[in-house]
Amino acid sequence: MVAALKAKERLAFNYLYDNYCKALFGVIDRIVQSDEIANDVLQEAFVKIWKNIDSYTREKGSIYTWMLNVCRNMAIDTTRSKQYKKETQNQNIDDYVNVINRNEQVQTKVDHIGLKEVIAKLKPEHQLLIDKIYFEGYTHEDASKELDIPLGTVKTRIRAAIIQLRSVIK
Amino acid sequence: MDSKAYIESGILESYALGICTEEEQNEVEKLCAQYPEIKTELEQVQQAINEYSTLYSKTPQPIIKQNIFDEIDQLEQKNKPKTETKIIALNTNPYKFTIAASLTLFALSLIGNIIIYNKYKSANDEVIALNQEKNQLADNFKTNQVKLEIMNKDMAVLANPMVQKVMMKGVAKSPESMAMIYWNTQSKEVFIEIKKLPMPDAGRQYQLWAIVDGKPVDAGMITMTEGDSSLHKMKDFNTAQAFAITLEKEGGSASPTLAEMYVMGAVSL
Repeated sequence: MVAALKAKERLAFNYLYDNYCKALFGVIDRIVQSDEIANDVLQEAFVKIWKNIDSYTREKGSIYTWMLNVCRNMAIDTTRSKQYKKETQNQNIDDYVNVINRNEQVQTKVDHIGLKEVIAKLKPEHQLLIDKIYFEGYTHEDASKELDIPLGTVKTRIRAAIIQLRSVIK
Repeated sequence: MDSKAYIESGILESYALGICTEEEQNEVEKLCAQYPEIKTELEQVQQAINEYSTLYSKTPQPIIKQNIFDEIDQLEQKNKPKTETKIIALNTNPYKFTIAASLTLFALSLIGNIIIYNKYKSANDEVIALNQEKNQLADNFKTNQVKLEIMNKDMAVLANPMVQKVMMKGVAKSPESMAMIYWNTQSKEVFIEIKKLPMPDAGRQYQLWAIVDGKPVDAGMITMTEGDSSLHKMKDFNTAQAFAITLEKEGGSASPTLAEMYVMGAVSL
């Protein structure tokens, strides 16, 4: 499979897209909070995956992990771009209420059966920590500051959150 | 290293969430290769995060897939010529490189041979030229030796105190002409040295006459050679009052043609 991808075989790439586009799009959409931008980022990310498939090695984890990181990094970079900030700021000014609604939508859009269950079982502070880091690109320092956790214990707190996640998902 | 403590530090979770520094990333990847238990733990963490991420799954616009493949097509189009030529080159002949290398070596050796042959040829030419020069020098030397012998002989003739010199000056017909007679009155030998005489036409020859008791007597034929300043032995004479040269038919005449007299000189007594 990987060898076939490295040969840039279209069929294999087609398979990758069909299998993972929904999961990747979901993550991107959660990060950029806009379907329109998320579609653009997904497109850009898949082209990048095609171009850089040679740099993927087994040591970096599963192909999905690698693709996920490409998409996540690109999405977080997008939220930090001037263009993105301008658009969302305009939205804030133009239609503050709408944004609020939309943000709520994101939270409540969690109409996925699995997700609802998982989130219900996770401790709120664990979910918050994971989401802030994973979807908003928080660093250790950000997490320490924003969530009021001593910097020295951030890593172990993250570990605790993931351990809970692991048990919930199983 | 205590892999358990490492696992419990929470670094693997940070790594999986992508918030490690580059140093930490390299460290995790290195240790995963060394410690299977760390690798297994990391895989489980990644698995959990992957599964969590899939809970957010959402369908993108169908057009996106088409867009992606269009963009890839364009990328491929750009790269196509390169890869195509590569494939053809490899498929047509796997020994192509070897053949090309041999041909290059052959061409190089050919050029080398031509250069060496040219050097050999010019060296050979040089040897031939040097040989010719050497022979020329040897010839010159021989000629000079012969000349020297002649001069020595002439010197011996001239140095003899018994030799009487007779200067024959140009007459009206050719005032610039001149010749010398060296006459050994003891041995009776007569020698001539041509100082200046015009070269005779073909079929004509200068003849020396001795005037003995008022009558011209044949003293021998003169063979003219350009640039010859040596002495030539003529017929012996006991007595003579004067010497003269006339231009005659080849082989000489019985009596001189006075109209064709060039030089004349009286013997001083």
